[in-house]
Order: sequence, then structure tokens, then C-alpha cells
Amino acid sequence: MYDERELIRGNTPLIVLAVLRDGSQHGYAVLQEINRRTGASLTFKQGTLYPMLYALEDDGLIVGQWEHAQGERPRKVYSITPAGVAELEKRLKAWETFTSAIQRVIGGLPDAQPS
Amino acid sequence: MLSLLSRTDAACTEEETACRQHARVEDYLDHLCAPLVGSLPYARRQEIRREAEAHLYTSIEEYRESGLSEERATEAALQAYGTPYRLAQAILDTWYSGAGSGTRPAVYSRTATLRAFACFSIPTAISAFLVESYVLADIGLERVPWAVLWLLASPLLAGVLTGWLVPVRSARAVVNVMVLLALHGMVAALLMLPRREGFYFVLFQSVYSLPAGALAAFLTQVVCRHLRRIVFRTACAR
Repeated sequence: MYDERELIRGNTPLIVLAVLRDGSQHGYAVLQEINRRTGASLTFKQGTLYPMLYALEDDGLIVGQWEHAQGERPRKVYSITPAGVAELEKRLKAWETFTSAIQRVIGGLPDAQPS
Repeated sequence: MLSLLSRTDAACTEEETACRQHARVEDYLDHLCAPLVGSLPYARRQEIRREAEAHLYTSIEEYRESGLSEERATEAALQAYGTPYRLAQAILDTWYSGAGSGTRPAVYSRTATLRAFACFSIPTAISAFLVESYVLADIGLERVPWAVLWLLASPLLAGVLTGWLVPVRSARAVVNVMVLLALHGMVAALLMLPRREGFYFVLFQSVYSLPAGALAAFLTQVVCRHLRRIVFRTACAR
């Protein structure tokens, strides 16, 4: 049975790393940016982003730093690390290979070879 | 006078609403952090709480700007954030997964193995001593029912104790320890027992003690987790 959440869950690291590549953000801003870029077509519970951020932080792909702006609540701002950039490149390549393979299977590309 | 009174009433209501909203968010954060107690250190839990709090208040503010009342904005923000218990489980999964010798899971794995070792080493030593005494005294284990009972029950008891002390991956910890103990037992049994009895003892450890201990640890771990959830849900319902 098709479950869109599984697809999102499997690719959240790629999405988060891609957003953070364009600049450091706090969790809420990362979500807003994902919504802006996707036209809010990816729906998931906002809180599920944080375990993913913690996992990426543990793996050294992003780093989080608390910022205390005057008159505002302290926020943890995440930035991508060089290891994160390398991981993103790797995941992007894998994603492109995967999507182009799927495209060939479903007949979206002209160079699909019948067996 | 009337206008002054109504202004004061309005201020009170506003303050009350803010208090209720604050209490609702605090309650939600309590539910989010409660399952993490005992697994994540205090500082880490506080960090998670502060981050979630900042997120929720920003989200509430945004819902309010879109025209929702304070109360509805709070509820909408909490709902969008997710079920606290499920989020806590996801955080725990993250906390206990990963790779690398210097990382937390490795440290956890070492602690789990040490605990399993503490639970299994003494019963195994007693079993070895019993086998050795009865075989060398030529009494035969089959003639001493309580010794047989001990041999059968001790891995189960040790497994239950391990499952209780090791909340995650207890069966793996038992397997790690039992493989070591079986290897050690093999050397000891072959040196100290007649060859046939030594072989039977090692076989017994590998075929019965290891799987029985691991299964007992796993089942106890599952039961303990289930009990913790029930306790947590009961606390949530109050």
C-alpha cells in the first residue's frame, strides 16, 4: 500500500540538508522554507523535524548553536558542515539516479529499452 | 466608571487566556519530555524542551496573526507539532541509533553489556561449580533435582534481570555476554571436567542458556516498556 509518509521520512535528511545548504536556519524557519519551496505539498507533523535534526547533528552533518536575540526566545540555529555538504552531494546523486531509473521504468523517458 | 470596570475585566480575561495558553503549552512539553526521563540526560531534555517551546510560541503567534483566537491558535499549533508521546519515541530512537565507537550508542552498548555480564556471570559460575562438584564427586546431576532446576532456571532469571536493567537491546547484550561466557566456559570445562561432561556443559550453555537468556531478556524488556507506557498514559489522563 502506498504511504506518502514513508517517502517523506526516507528523504527528510536530503530535504533538510538542501535547505540548510542555502543558509543557517532554526527549526521553524527550516519548516517554513520547506513549505515555501514545495507549496506546502509535503505534509508532516512539525515536531518530527527535530528528531531528524538531532540525528543529523549527531552524525556531524549539521551543527546547532543557540542564539539569544534581545526580546526574543532563544533559538537553536542549525548550519550545514563540510561533511553535510558532501553527504548532500552523495544523496543528490543517489536521488537523481533513483528518479531517472523510476522514470525509465514507468516510461517517462524515450531511452527506455524493452527487454 | 463603567468603562474603567470593563477595561479591567478585559485585562483580566486577556491575562487569564495567556495563563491558560501558557499552562497548555507547559502541559504539552511535560508530556513530550516525560518519556525521555531516565534515557536522556537532564541538560539534553531541557534543550529539547526549550527548542520545542520556541517553535510552539512562534507557531501560535503565526496562527493568531492569521485570525485565530488565542485558544484556537494554541490548539492548532500543538496539533501541527504532533502527538507528544510519538515525538518522544522518535527522539528516543534517534538517541539510541547511530554508529561509531565514540558515539552514545556505543557507550550505551558497553553499559548494557556490563549490566548483562553482571546478571549472567555469577549464575554461570555457580552452574559451572555445581556441574564440576557433582561430576567429580561422581554423584551425577540427574540425581540432584534442585541442581538441575538451578541449571534450567538461572539463565531465565538472569535474562529477566537483564531485561529489567537494560531498557533497549537487552537480547543483544545477553548474546554478547553469553558468547564470551560460553567461550570461557569451554576452556574451563575442558580443563577441569572430563571431556564428555565438559562438552555437554558447553553444549548446554550454547543451546539452552544463550537463547533462553536472550528470550527472557527480550520479553522482559518488552513488558517493561509496555508497563512504562501504561504508567505514562495514566499520568497523561490525570
